[in-house]
Amino acid sequence: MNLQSYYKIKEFLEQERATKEEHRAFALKHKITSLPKYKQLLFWFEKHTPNTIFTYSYSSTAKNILLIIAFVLGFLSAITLLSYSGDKPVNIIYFFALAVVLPLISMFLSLLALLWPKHLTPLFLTTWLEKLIAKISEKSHRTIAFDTTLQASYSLFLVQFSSLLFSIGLLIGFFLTILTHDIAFGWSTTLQISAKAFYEFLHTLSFAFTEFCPQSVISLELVEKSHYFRLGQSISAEMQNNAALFGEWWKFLACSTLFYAIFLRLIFLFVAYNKFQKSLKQSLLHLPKAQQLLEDMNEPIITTQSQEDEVVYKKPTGDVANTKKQEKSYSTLLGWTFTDEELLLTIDALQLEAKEHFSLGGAKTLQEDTQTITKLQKNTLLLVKAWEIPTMEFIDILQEIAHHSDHVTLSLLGYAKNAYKANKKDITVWEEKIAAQNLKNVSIKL
Amino acid sequence: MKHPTFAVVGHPNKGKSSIVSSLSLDDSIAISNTPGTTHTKRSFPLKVDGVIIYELFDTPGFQRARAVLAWLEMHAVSADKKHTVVEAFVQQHKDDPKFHDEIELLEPILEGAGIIYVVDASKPYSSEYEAEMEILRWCNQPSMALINHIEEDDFTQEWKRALGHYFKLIRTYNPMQATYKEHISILESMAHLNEEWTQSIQDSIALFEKHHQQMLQECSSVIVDLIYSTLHLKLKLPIKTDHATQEEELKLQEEYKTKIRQLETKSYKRIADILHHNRLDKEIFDLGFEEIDLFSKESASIFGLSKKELLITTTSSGALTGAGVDLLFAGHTGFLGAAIGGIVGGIGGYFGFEELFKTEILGKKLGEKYLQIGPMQNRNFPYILLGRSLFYAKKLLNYSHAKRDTLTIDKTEENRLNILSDKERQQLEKYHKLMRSKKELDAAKLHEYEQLILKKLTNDQ
Repeated sequence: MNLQSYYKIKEFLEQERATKEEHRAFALKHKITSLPKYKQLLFWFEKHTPNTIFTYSYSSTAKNILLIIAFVLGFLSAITLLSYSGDKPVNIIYFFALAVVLPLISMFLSLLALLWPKHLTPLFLTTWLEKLIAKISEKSHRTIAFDTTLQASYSLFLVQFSSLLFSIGLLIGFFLTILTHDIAFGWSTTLQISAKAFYEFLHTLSFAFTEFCPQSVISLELVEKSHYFRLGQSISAEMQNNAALFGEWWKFLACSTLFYAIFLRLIFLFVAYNKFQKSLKQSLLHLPKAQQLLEDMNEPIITTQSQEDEVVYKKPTGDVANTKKQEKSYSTLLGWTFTDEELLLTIDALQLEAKEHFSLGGAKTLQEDTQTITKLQKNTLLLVKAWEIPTMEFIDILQEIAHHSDHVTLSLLGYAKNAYKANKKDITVWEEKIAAQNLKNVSIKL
Repeated sequence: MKHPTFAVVGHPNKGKSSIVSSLSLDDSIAISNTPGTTHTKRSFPLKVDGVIIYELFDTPGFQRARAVLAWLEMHAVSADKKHTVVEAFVQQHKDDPKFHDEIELLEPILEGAGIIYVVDASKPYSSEYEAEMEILRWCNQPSMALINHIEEDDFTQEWKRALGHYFKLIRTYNPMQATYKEHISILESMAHLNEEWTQSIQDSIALFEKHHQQMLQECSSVIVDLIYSTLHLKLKLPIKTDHATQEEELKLQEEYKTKIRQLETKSYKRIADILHHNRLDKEIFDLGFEEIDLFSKESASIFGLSKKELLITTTSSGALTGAGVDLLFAGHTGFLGAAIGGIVGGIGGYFGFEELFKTEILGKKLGEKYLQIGPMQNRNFPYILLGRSLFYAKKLLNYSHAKRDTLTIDKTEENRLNILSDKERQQLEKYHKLMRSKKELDAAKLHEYEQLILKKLTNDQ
């Protein structure tokens, strides 16, 4: 996984138009839902992009130039710092500072940056270099800004990489110089440091390679003898007498560079690379549309809606006569779905008069209803509970009643607690239903 | 094993379709006061990746129950064979238009569907229902009764006494007011109808919960997109002179408002789609918002923060940022950072309460002068927009799919809808600040903000 693929995935996601169903079908077909999320994204990307032409690109030229510069700089630093004319020893402190002290400081900063990447990576030159490159790239070709976490971890990785190359350049330069020159090393500083103290310091630093390369450990004698003071154009006679000894320093310098500048840096590079890879994967998941794609692939498609078209009910039309007139008496009074007790109570409450009264529907059988209907003659009053809408069964009965009576008056009743007054909504339902039957001798009493 | 199926049956106009609509989260079902609106049975399967987990059938109501029962009783057999008589009835009357509705409702039952018999307990019990229940008993399928309340009157007790003779399981469910928990509770009851169905229905419940969570997640994502794109919105208007005229400024402001309103409407449509409220067209998108314009003072007072709340939020948010600086210096700043941050934040909040637009002339030096508006600097506006969005999403989340009326907003100050705690406001303010800046906000930050919205939506249900 690298930045180039990150760019490509981002671009491809922007162009992606597949539906949720297609995403889910893809995940199920390839059985990828158990894979880590970033692997799912990569798999999806690989399967979809063989013929895609990408316009975004990450310019690695700048990065490569930076790395080459670092290497060359390291190489030239070694050559320059070790340049030896023979009239004075080469002060190891310069080289030591570049090969050990500077890497240690930089590694300490890197350690802090690993812990707080967003806050400390702006301290690194690489961060600004990346920003500059991105700015320049915007004008020349399409590019994408990283998110801050990725940018921080990438900068940190670049710092480690370029530092490593710098140190390698330094070491190569060092070897080339000592190979081609007979150099007398010495040490000199304005600070009042005794040879013993300096020796102890160097001895402590040698702990890392004492076991592997005992010859590289500096002796107190060498430290003492190679300590020089420059006064005017000359150096001490003792130094000149021991000049042959001073070449011994190279082993210590080489081992120090190898351990502090290269070995430790390799560890940092490894950690930074892993962090960068982790950020890359994390950023991949945070790319616009990536989360949606992953959700589509991993979440089952749940549907609850009907796939069938609904048959739309067409309201029948027709006319029905309404009357407000209350007949004094009816030849027959019928109660639809009334019990006998309910019917008697209602007749009494409404003070209705009829020669005879029957209840229909409800607990009565169809046969009983038919027997009742055949007895009907002149005008019939049919009481119905308006809150119960008319079923086709009622319509069948109504048609039979209409057939056997001269006239049928339908009385729509509400609840007793409402003085049997039906509500408007129910009346409308009944009116529409009855009107649709076009029964000429049926009217509704309001 | 075949998936469990359930036929929702009953007398006409007792709310069968409403119940199916609510249980299947489908607002496309025709529901009306007119009897016999449902003419044919219709399947509502719960599908997961195309596989049916269970299936609901909306059916027409009984029209000639006594005639059917009379036919069945004419062919009386022992109890273990009664369902074969019903099958014979269906077979014999398949093409008889007279029994069309009965055939439609009996068919799924005879194919193995569990029976959900729906009654309306806002109407008194009547013996005419007995024929229907008796027919269902002949079918010999697992069954339960569901008591619905279409209107206010309550005859539940008499219904329970009557239903108790025919059904072992009786539950109350009002599809118009049912919450998500009640929905799940009904599914749990359905799971107990038949031992063989228990697992499938329990799986369905888990899936429904997952589906519900998915919907909340998607809604949060839409809200975040809306807030971010609104706060980040910039519009430009080319001008010829060094100073923009009032007309030009007003024109740009109007364009800006229109664009934001469009973004809001688009988001609400998306939320309605996510929550399966597909029927809800214009009337629901207005949701009373038509009267309460996004940029009105009324909208700010109902959905936004009060001046005092905003002041507290921006001050504490600023202080928190300043405290970060103090921490960096291990407290050696004497907490001056927190104090300065608080003051700066407070001043921003105080002056950023009323001011809605900030227009500026750009490009002077380059010769291409243009008037720019945005990103949104008003500190209260994200809360107004968020308040409206949360209100809308929460309303729709609890809005039954069976409902066919429109939503209203209680405009009184006492019923302010945003109810954000101090802590929530402080957390949100951090992101609003980032959104107001000209920089692009990275996906990780947006994701964090989305999680806050999701938490709010989930907790407020």
